[in-house]
Amino acid sequence: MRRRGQSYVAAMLAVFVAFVALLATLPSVVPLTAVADKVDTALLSVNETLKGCCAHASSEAWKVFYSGKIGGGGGATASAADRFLARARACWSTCRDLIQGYYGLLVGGEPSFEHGGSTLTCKAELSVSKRGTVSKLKWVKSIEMSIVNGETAIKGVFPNKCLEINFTLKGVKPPYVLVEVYFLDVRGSEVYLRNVWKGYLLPVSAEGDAFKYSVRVLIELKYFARCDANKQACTLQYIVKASDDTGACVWVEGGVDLGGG
Amino acid sequence: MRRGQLRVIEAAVAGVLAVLVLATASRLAYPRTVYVGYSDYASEAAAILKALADRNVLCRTVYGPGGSVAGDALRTAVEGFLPPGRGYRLSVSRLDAGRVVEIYAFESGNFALEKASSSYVILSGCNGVFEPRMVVLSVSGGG
Repeated sequence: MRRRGQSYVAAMLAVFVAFVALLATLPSVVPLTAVADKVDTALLSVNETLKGCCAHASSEAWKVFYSGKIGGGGGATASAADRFLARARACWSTCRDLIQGYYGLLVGGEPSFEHGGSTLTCKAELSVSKRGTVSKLKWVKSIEMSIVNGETAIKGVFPNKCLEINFTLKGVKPPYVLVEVYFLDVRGSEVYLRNVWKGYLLPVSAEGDAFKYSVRVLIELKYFARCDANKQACTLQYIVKASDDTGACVWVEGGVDLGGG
Repeated sequence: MRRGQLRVIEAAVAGVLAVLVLATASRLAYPRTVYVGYSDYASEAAAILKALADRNVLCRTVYGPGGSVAGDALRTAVEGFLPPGRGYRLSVSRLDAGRVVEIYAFESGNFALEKASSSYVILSGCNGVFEPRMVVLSVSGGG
């Protein structure tokens, strides 16, 4: 009987220990929830900072391109691409350090950035790890712009002659597309890039994954007058720039015959 | 020892153990319940920040006109996602060379700091601007 009593006590002790052990493991599960929350917002921060860096770098690339056009610089596009890459990398490096510092985690992998004027690609395959919890992140932003050649021409009659530009955009979510049109105004040795139109455009149609936009810009008489004065055929050079809702921008250059001669 | 005495001792030990189990269970379970409650507020704040980021609202309001925070628009957007009765504190800070400078803060009347939990998001800029900023959203039960 004495043994039986002891075995009861031992069994109850075992149950007690097992129960306490079970409860003791629960708090170690709870911080995991907190870690998961942090990783979620860390991924959000990675996403948002990449988005911002891509837009910032493209804006800097545009500034280089713009000043290169005014200065008549030959390698404007190449240097704009270089500036884009350098700015995007510097921006991301700062942001990665901030994210690692504030969230106490490790961000692995390097994003790739590329800007070719009418094309923009920012993509990243990154891993975010904290206390053994690894989360993968895949992020891509890609914008492609092109002029619809057959449908871009001078239309109307004096004094309402205007340039109708039709272009397509891939990778931009409508309706937030900010469009700017510039005319290249050459006066002797001086070159001006005149902003002749700026506003938000809605797509006129969709062709697969590309959206088509159309803009009409009035051409001032002075552009024709200059051609008449030169007594030769001349071309109006223009640049169309499109920015999405984050500010990431691409641009295309084009030329249209003004007649004359 | 007699058989009856042994039973009494067994019953006493069983009683003590039962009390110990209940005491331990309540001690471990009570803080956990509170902790999960706080974590829920953090998850709620994280979900709101994510919804705002997905709609690009964070970018447009944190870097508002002239680079300043469009506070009213940001508050309105947050309140649109908050369940009724929740208190909240919203702040935007500039992360500048290791320093954190708060440039905007708003606290609802029913915000209770002692019942609050937070989530935060880091942004690099918007519309070409580069200036890292942090948005912190703290959510609490009613004050």
